[in-house]
Amino acid sequence: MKLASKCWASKGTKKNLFNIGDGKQACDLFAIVLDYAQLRHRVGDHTVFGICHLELLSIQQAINKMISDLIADSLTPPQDNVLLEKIDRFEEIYQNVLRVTAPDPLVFVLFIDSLKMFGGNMKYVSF
Amino acid sequence: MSINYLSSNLIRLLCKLSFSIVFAIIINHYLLLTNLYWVLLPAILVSLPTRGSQLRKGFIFLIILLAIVIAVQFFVPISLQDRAIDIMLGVTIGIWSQFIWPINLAKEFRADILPILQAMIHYLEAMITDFSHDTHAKNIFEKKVTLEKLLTKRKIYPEWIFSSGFNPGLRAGFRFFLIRLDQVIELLLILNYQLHRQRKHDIDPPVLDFIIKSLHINVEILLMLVKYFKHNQINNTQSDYASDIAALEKSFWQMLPGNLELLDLAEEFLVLAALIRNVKDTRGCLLKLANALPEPEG
Repeated sequence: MKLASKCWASKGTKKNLFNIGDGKQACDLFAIVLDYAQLRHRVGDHTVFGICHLELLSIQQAINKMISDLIADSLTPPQDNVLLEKIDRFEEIYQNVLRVTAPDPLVFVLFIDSLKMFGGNMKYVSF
Repeated sequence: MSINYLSSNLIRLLCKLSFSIVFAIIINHYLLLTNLYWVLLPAILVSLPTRGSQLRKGFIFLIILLAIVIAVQFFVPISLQDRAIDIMLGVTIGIWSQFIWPINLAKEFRADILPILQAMIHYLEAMITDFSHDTHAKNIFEKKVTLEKLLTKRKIYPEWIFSSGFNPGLRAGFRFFLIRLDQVIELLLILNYQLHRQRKHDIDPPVLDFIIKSLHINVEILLMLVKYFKHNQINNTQSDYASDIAALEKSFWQMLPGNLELLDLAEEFLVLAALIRNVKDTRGCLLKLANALPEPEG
């Protein structure tokens, strides 16, 4: 409430850093992060991660970079091109290997969707 | 309830402190070589109530005070050997005082976990109302904030279970429960987002009914946990807690063609699949929690 009232007070000025709409986006983003993190619970056999270890690492780096970019330059929405490229690479691994070898391939479909949603939502989160 | 909780902790603290002080004075009276202050200080510090790591706490204070004595002897002429004995006596008294009115860990855990479980039920019920009546309930955000506040308050969330030195015989069970509960809370936070995402798409009425029914059963299991922690009783239920999820999945797969790739093509199926998976995972975690409960006493 304090934050909302502070933002309301600074509305219309250059110091208008945050608004309620952005707060909703941030909440959604947090839910998406929790959602894709469920992969670790949903995959029972962790040796499956050995197949896509490098791809998962590159996705992690891309996400970290997006968040760092957002923190560094909070007015410009971060670009999700790199993340989308990494997700495509992971999707290839999924189509070629995981879809056949993983005991429950649906969890990877949901993981990919969640990552795409993350990239999409990051565009709208600016401070 | 909170006043009783505070007063019992205060009386416990006073009991332990008075035991330590009286015992330290008696020792000082009979062993004339000791310095009362150097016995009292570690006795008081170690006798402060702790949850299951008395020896570790005593050992830490012993090391710290010995280090202080070693440092002080360079500036003030004191007998290192006598002060070391004083500190060891004080620490021993403090450790012994922990056996007076010890903290009941199960009772403490119950008191801490109950408000969290109740907040989870309120949040889930608000989400079900919102979803089933297709209205934007205003109180969902309030319930969510209440739950999140409980999780961030150190006095309520039983974080002490993860502290190092916690009773090794008990920590596996307590930690299992808390880790699973954290997972359920994560799934509830995701559920809210997924229900809002689902709202944009039409959903078949039979599948919608199955989802709502499964969510109600999740509330029922949470209520069972609350009843256990509150009244030490377990409900006798007719539900098998599995058939509704099986029916939900069956109705979903009947809507879909057999190929997973088609999920990518139709967003509404993907959103629905994520929602159903969330409900299923929540049920799995809740059943693990219910199975982990010990038999009610008496």
